[in-house]
Amino acid sequence: MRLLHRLALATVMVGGAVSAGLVLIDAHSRQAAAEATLADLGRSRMDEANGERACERLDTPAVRPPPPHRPARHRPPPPGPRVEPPRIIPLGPSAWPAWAAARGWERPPVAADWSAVQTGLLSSSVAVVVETPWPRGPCARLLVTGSTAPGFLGALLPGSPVWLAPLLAVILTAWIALAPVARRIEGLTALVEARPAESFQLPAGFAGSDEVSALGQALQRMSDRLREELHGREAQERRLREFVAHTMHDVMVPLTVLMQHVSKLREAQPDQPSVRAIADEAHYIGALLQNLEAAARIEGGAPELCKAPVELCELVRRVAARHDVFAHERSVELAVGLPERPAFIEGDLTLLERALSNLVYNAIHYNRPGGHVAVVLEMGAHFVLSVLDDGPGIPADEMGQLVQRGFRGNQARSRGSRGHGLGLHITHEVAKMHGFELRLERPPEGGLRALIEGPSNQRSPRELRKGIH
Amino acid sequence: MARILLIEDDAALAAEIVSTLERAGHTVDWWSEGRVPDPSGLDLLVVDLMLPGMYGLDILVELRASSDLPVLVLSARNATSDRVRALELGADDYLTKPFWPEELVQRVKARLRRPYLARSTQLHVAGLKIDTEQGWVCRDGASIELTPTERSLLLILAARQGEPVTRSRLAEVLADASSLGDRNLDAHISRLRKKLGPGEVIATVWGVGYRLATKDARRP
Repeated sequence: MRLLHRLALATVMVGGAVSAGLVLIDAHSRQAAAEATLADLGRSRMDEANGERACERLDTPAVRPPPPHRPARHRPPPPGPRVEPPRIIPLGPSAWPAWAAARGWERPPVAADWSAVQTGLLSSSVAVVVETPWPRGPCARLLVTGSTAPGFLGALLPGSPVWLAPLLAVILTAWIALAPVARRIEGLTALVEARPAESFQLPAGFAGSDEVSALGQALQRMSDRLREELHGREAQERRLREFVAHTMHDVMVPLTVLMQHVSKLREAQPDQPSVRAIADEAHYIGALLQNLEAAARIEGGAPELCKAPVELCELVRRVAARHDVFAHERSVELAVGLPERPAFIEGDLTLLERALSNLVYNAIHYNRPGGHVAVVLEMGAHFVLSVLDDGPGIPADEMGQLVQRGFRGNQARSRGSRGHGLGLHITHEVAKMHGFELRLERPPEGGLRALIEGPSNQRSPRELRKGIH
Repeated sequence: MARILLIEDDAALAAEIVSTLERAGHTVDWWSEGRVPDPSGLDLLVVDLMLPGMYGLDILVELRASSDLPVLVLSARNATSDRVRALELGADDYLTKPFWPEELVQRVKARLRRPYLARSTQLHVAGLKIDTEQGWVCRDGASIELTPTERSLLLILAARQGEPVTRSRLAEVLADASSLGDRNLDAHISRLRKKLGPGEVIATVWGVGYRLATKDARRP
């Protein structure tokens, strides 16, 4: 409620200052008027009295306050401070009544005509000292006292505090005008924060014709534009992915036919280097295309996992089957070590297959004839899927660099060595997306061990379905 | 070996697949359009997804309403959702293009290994006869004496029908599961090999452990 806090503070400060100012000015004005009047009264009495001797009569009962009498039965005393009628007290040249001193009044210095006695700005008692033409007698000066009772001359403000009413009215008006506005602004803020930017919805009840409504409508229009743009982008991405999928399909079929022929050729001429090279390249093209497909999914705006129960033993067998030919070509032995029972985890089938395939491909590709590759799956609370080879391995410093760059090799290296570029990067990304860990280790006996580790789901899909339905 | 129906609309690819499977010893029929086959008389259906006529998945659904015939899906569509869907609808396997013919043969063989009732409890390896159910081993009619540990090891290997078994799995049967278990395992296997006589009965698998030297489970 910061706006209202500020309003409260401002009104208190300004109202307080104005009120205080008014009260002080009023008091001062009344006192000044009273003093002038008392001075006139003193002087006129002086003129009336017959010279110095009459001065002594100034303090006579004639001008003394009337003795208190029985209060009139028919009229209650008026509210407010008691009205003191004026008194004239003759003073000697340097006399000063004790009672005046007791009240804190100081004897003013001699002046030409009359001077005021400082009684305090807010005091209702007023006193002046009038100089007489007889400075040496008992009537050298006259002390004239009175009060600034309400209704007396010079009052600016009326007696009762009714003058505060307009001030309060102003404050109240400000609050009445601004409090609803502050609330509406808060309401609008809450609406904006309630939902994401592109689904901002101004409720029908918010209509109005003030600045806040205008702001709300502007925000609504902005949100609508944002939503349109986002939909446009999403549609574009969808079209791109569909294009990739269709293209993949169009390429995969002829590639498959090619591979069937190459295989027959290999059988007929197993030692022909060209034939082996063709087989190699065909395999690589197939793997690369599938990697590109995976990369398109991963690097898209919102990489999604299509999670389902994945049986790892079957996955490993499929990947091994895919690479058997390749391994045979390279005279590398490829073996798998699997648990007896089906091993289920939660994950994206295709991406996991890609991740493992890339590791197996690299293990075979970088190996030498007569080398070995083993894919081993261990199941427990966690699963550990390792690809172990006795190839040259990766030097420690290079391994560090690869890990740092997220397994994306630089261009030259990617083109030259083929494996470290896209394949390992995809494996790493897939592991990350699943919350699994990818580790590259250098076993003491040499070679490379690449492992993917993550939580396992010990229940079968049937059991999972039972749990759901 | 088996009667296989292939439904694939690309003629060049279909010709290759038929030729590959026939060379592996199977009898293959080929349809180029999608329609639901009569499962009787068939041992396996190999079907593409994108077909003129009826889509592969629809064929699968209709087939599954009345038959348990093993189905292997071939497809260029590699999207996880497609594969999961096909498996949910009852496909037994899903082979994505491109694939090597050897791969196809292996996957077909794996699907034809159902039902398990046909599995024999007796294995023949390098002149040995092993009964996995009763747990005895004999060569030329003469029974071979094995310690309980050696028998356990052999039966585990035999149960896996030639697939490699990891060292850690084998080490589980050893009496003392200490850190020396590994070397201990090698010693046991070595003694077992000696007892089993000539010929390679137990093969070493680099990086994994050991396997029974039957024909490789993966290689046709």
